Amino acid sequence: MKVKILISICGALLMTPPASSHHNFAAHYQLEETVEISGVVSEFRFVNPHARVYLDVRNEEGELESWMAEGDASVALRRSGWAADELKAGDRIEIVGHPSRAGSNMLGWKSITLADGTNIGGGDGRLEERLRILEESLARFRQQRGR
Amino acid sequence: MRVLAGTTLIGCFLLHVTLSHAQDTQPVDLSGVWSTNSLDTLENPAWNIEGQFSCRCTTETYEYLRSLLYDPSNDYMSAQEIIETLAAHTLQIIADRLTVTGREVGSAFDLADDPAIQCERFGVFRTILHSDPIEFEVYDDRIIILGEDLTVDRTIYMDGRGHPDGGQKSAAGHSIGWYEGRTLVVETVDVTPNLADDQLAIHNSDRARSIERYTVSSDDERRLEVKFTLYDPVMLRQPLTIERPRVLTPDVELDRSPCEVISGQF
Repeated sequence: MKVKILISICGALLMTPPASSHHNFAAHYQLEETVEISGVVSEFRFVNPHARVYLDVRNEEGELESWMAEGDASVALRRSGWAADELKAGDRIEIVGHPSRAGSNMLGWKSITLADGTNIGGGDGRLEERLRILEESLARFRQQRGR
Repeated sequence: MRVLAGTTLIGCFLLHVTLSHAQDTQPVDLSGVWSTNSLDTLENPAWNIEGQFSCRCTTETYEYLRSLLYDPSNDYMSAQEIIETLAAHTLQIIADRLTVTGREVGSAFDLADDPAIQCERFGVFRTILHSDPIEFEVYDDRIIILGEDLTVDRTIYMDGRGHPDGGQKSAAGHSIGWYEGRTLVVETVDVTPNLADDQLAIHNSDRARSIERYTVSSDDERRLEVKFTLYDPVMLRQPLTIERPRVLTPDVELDRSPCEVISGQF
């Protein structure tokens, strides 16, 4: 199966849900683990509580498996510029995300990379963008604080 | 001379009454959409550094945040470390505040049983604490607070009425409001037992009531300080105050897309 264990614990990710999550990703996913899958989109549901990508993934035995990945809420994605046709059936994508607690073919996605290498994010990987902004603000604040 | 003094006194009294009444009716206009520090509003110029780091955190945690920010000896901490520290600080305060029942209910709850997964609407406390934008519609006799998909729409009665005697309990409860200076105060009672917040693992009983305080910042009128105090003798040993500031975001429209339950093999 084209699923590989990548990284493990990141404290902030454990503590922080997707930017506008309507329920905690820990309900279904192991936030302390990250895996990667690649496959072909069969359907993209731009809905609440979380957007979903359904995709066909070929496993190590060469058989096709159906997977579902859950991202941020559509309300939050729309404000980040996503549209309902952000992903289309037939798109080849790679998804990095948290595996299912129950061992089913589900992921809580952190980020999605398109076939041309573009990372479109959309999951709890948005935390990285958030941290970048906060680090910049913090540095500015500390620089100006003493003046 | 006496007549003049008396007239002046009466004039001053009437002016005072008029001004007090004006303040009590509507000293601030909260109309519009207000957002928390979500990614898309994080660089809004109305935020100060505390607001950018704001979280669904207790009042005590905000005091701790200020000490982390303003004491240079903490400058070794990264933004991520500050976020983690704040979350741990608030969770510890809440853990210490829970009654035995509050702890038991919290530990028996499995996140997979969150009603929101089945697209069930939040109760009023989870609605108040939720991160999505909210919109105030202000009328003479009431304020409507609208949220996004899973939150409950709220009516705050501003006409001076009290809570009904023996009122029927509901997920939204019964809310009345009034102004105290630049602050809108809202009291909510008659709620049904519910999950008050999934991230903070707080549940409420049907004996809970809350006070919300919405204060337009004196520094910047685009910023709204929000304090939510939960009183629940069943779940909490003492009242718990959670703060979550917002900024005015006229460019944001509420998105009330329907919720869709995950079905089938997944």
